[in-house]
Amino acid sequence: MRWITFLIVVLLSVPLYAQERTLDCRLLFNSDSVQLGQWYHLSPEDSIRIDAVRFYLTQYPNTPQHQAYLVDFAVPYTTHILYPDSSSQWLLGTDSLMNVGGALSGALDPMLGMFWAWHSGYINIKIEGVSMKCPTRNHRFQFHLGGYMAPNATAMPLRLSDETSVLEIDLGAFFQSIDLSKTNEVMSPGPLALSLTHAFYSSIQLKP
Amino acid sequence: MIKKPIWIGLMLLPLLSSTLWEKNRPVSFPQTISTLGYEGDSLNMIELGRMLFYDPILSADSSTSCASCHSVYNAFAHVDHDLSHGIRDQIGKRNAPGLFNLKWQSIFMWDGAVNHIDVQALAPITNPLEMGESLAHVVSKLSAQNHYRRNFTAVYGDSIITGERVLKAIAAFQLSLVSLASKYDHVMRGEDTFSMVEQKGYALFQQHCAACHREPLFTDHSFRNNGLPVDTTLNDWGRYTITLRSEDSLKFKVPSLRNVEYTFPYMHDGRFKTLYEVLGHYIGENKNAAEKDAALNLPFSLTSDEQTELVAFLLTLSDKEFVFNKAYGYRSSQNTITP
Repeated sequence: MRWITFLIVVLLSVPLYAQERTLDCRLLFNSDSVQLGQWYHLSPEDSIRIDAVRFYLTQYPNTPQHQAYLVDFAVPYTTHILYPDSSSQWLLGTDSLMNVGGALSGALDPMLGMFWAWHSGYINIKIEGVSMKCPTRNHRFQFHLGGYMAPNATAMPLRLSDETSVLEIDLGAFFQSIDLSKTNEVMSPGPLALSLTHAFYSSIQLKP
Repeated sequence: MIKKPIWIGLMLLPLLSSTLWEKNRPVSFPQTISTLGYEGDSLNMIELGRMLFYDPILSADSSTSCASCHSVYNAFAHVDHDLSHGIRDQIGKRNAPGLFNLKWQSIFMWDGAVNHIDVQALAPITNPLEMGESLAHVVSKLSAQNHYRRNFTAVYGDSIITGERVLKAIAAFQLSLVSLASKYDHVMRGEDTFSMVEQKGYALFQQHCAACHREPLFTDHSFRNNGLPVDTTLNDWGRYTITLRSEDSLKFKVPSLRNVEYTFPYMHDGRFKTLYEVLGHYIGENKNAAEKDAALNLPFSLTSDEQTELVAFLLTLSDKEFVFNKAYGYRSSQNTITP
């Protein structure tokens, strides 16, 4: 009898740790998986190369357990997020309190190049690359999308259900909604940053 | 058994200490903006911040430190420079303001671009005309130096240098710069008296200037258009560049007038070399009369004597103790901070 009691006591004393979940972020162009630095041909006249995609995902509300994660497709391990299963509310971007909180640590450290020096606040999404349609120097396009002040606050809500394990971004849909020959450099908060953030947000699909 | 008088004495002790504090407390200063949330004010962190402040390693070619444009002898302004210069002799876009009493500010830079003291240093560090660096590269340069790794360990407990740790140390030093010992302060505390000329100047100041340059900080930290026509070689629209609201065009943060004797030339672009030129602007014909702040709408004139008196009062805002304070001067990063 004693050993049964012992076993029951042991099993009951196993601590109930918070479950951790994973989110796998994937970059697609229409339905093909995207590699940074590779050329894609959209049409005979139009080729595009994506050089950088970086964005923040923040588990909400902002508490010590809920963090901001910087997804950077140039750094593969950052695209697999391990997070505590304590809230299904998320933000694409950073919480407004983070934008006024001074120098923060970890994924929010300003040395990661995602904080504006000249206008305090986080760059929530960075998309950079080259397209033959851009009349810019070296045909580069650079979208640094941020801003936390109304009416151009760019953080957008995401709901991760119990089944969600994949976050897919279809850059094909994103680039379809903009004209790179006219819109190719956005480096400050404002209405244009907001509309591009909407376009990026709309290109996101959460899947099981 | 403890005797009654001793008990009474013990009860009165807190009263005595609060009286002593009252004597030295700055006269009716507003609350400091809270800087709590981290161990920011530890002496060691301030020391580390001081070392970084004076170290040109923060710039791309190791030529320019914070102190290059913010000199302690000039209340941390860049004396005799209308616009500051950075690496490779490039001339910048604005006048470097004096640095003091920052713990009473919640918004920084002439246009309010920076919303927290921790991230203010990012602006000059990354501006290509100033230090031309990236925070990540500064971190890697510091990490390669033994004495910095030692000193970061003394402050933070381990030798890992991050952007956050660098910025917080610099901010701790910036916040430690407090200027409250000018003749004006001594007079307000009853320890000194104004001369007759200074007293008249003070009355004129309260009448014509104090609406924006409010005592005791000598600024209300608001953004105002004081009637300066835009310099078309710079096209600096001030607060508008941050808020994108047309009503903010040509508004700049009201600077503190403390230490104004040391911080010439004046205004966001240093266009006035002397205080008399500044007064000339305020009493003269303002080309931007329509847009300037309502507080300046009432025209006023000053006789030559009155101008002398007003300037004499402004000179009482000079804090010699501040500019000669050894705790604010150069300290080599080769020194060791003991944990």
